[in-house]
Amino acid sequence: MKPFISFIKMQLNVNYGISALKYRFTREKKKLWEPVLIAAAILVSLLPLLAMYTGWMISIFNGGLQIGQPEMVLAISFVFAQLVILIFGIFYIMGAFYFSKDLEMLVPLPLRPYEVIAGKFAVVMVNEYLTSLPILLPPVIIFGTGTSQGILYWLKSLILMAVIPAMPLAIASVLVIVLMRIVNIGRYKDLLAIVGGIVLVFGSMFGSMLFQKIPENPEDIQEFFAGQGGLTDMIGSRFPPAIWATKGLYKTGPSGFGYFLLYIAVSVALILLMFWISDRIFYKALLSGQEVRRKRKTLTGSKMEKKFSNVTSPVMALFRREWKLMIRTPLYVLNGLVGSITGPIILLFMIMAQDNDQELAELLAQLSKPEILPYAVLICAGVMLFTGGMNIVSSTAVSREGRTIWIAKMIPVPAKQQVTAKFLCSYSVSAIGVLTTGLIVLIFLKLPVLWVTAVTIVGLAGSVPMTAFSLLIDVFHPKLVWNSEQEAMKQNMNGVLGMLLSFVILVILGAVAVGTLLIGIPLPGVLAAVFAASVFIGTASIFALFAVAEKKYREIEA
Amino acid sequence: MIEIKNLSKSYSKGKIKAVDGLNLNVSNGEIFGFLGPNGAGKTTTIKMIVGLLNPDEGSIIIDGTDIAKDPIEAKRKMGYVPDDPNLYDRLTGMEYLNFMADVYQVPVSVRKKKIEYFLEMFELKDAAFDLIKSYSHGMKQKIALTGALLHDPKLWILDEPMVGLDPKSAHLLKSQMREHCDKGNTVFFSTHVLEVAEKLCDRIGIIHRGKLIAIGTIDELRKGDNKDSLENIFLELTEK
Repeated sequence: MKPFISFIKMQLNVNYGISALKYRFTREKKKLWEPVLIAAAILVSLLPLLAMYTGWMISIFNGGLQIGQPEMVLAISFVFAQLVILIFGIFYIMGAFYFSKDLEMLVPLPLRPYEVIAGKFAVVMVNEYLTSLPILLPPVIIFGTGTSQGILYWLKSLILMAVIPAMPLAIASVLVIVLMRIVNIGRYKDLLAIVGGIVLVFGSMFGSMLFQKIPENPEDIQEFFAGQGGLTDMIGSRFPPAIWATKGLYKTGPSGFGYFLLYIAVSVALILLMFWISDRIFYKALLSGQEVRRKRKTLTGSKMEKKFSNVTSPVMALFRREWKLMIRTPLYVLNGLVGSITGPIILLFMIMAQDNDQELAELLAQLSKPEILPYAVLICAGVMLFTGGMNIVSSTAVSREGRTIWIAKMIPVPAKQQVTAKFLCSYSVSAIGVLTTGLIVLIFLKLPVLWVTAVTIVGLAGSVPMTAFSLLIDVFHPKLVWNSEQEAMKQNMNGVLGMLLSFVILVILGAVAVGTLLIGIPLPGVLAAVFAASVFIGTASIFALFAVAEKKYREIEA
Repeated sequence: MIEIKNLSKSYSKGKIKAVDGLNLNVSNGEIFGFLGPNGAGKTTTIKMIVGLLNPDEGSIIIDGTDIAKDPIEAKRKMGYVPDDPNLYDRLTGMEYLNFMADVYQVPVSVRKKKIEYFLEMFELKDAAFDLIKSYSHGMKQKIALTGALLHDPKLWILDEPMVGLDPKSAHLLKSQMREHCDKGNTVFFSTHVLEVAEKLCDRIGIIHRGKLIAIGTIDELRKGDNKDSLENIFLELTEK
């Protein structure tokens, strides 16, 4: 077998634990229920979301059908899938290309830099199908069956779905490879990589918003509706290749084929460009990234004296360690800390994307109306809790210890204290998200201070059960064997499970809010009810966490 | 200091017995060398003593405390360094040592004295403020050793402590081990270097396929034959 193909196969094997799974299925049949249960839990909890999404797509298709543009549903889904892959792909690619532990082993192999990149790219690409297929399959099936498409459509759709992640990922890769070459200077390269990554992500988010040309006056809107493909073009302007994919799929005859081939050709060209660039600059940045600066300076007298910390409690010492390790690991900062403020930043962009001051003023005027205010405040609480729930610092807190877990097992600190430190660290990240949301709402939406304070307290209370339950999932089944920090955090099922569980808590708290609102309780009462529910579930979750930790920490073997 | 009774541990659903009915007593003031070929069960035994692995059967008592019943108290009495110490790469050496001092609640005056002493001894003073990520294997080993000894534990458990250490550091460590035991404390360590075991240990235990096949002082193992080297004894016992 060619070394290149064998390398890609090895990368896929290692990353998806194929050999490990085989071992588990053949040798350790006893543990078979675990992956099955996890898969079933994820499927069951995703089904309602998928059903909601499918329903939404059906209504878009029907709406499109009425104005003679049923393909709108395809355009929307292609844009959505590709933007999601592009934006989230940036951090993902950065982790896979530059922060995997196996790179140290790969560099000495007789492989060209582009071949190493290809192997890593293949892994990311396969992973992205998990994101792109649920987004694309429903609309492709809805459009195909709804407009009775022939075999050619289904064939083209299969090929398109297989290649869809390639283009946004290739763009993300080129951006990241160039960025890492630029930021690789001096001792602050980790920090620069984080800042650069954030700029790329938010830049592409903001860029896609500016790209969108929304028709301003009624005549333009009419024109958009009248012109064939008008809406598709408008939607697709956020990410133009989505238009080619849509037209390539639904149009028959030569023009359809033209667009289809154009999409494939540009994807291939971008991948080749990525290979070309990586062959030139990938190793330069990678190798200097592996170098660790040593200061090797001798401290004497009083300077040395200051380095001995005063005795703190074990919980405090563990809390400090958690924070230090998190903020010094670029991937944890990007996926954890930055991830937790992505929600409020998107909110800020949405406010700023209002086309002119007049629109913003109207929006603000609407929000301060007494009949709208309760809903605005509750939506604000929802955004805060959503932000807290998306935090994967808690659901990967034990997993991130990886090979250093022996220290946790060796030190004379009870499991209860160890998880308390992890809880406090994860909770502080959620709290940063909640407080940022509060600040943005206060400054930009100009909601009354009292309400923002009240809703922030509710947000902080609601984040307690979310953090505790997410942490509990990781304590219950930590992923301690990993080769890259990426695997510990992003490729960790506990992260997904934690988010789903937080989503369940959000639904429960939402139900409390809607229920109390429906029976006519005024806003302060509604907030008090949500707060009380949060405290109740929060207390229960902490007791559950401590109980599970005591048992599970004993069982963990290092 | 260490009482191990009927200790067993197996992997792969009982198919591979890593440790098989081990009985062992190590007294106060003793340097005990634990020898055996690769895969004999040395590291598995050590990991069970320090609480990293749970035994399938048997008990381990550390200075009167059962590790299964009161693990926290038992852990306070030990200082452990694994054969390949994976430390927190993104902490500096000094941050790691302060962290260990905090979890063992070592008072400031004591930690200051101890840290300075070990850093000086292992020539790590200049590197203490760099990230552990930048350390060589030997340097990590030395920082792990320092961290494990800050709280002045009665019992040192060291898995292959000489691997990765330069000759000077290895020599210093051996002197430290002797000094520690002369004060009435105990050192339990595994090694492949038979010469070290021969010169340093008060008693030696040889484990093979999970079972303790020989135990005693060097003289006892020689059975009166002074010409027989530990290497010959070891090979004779483990090639059966």
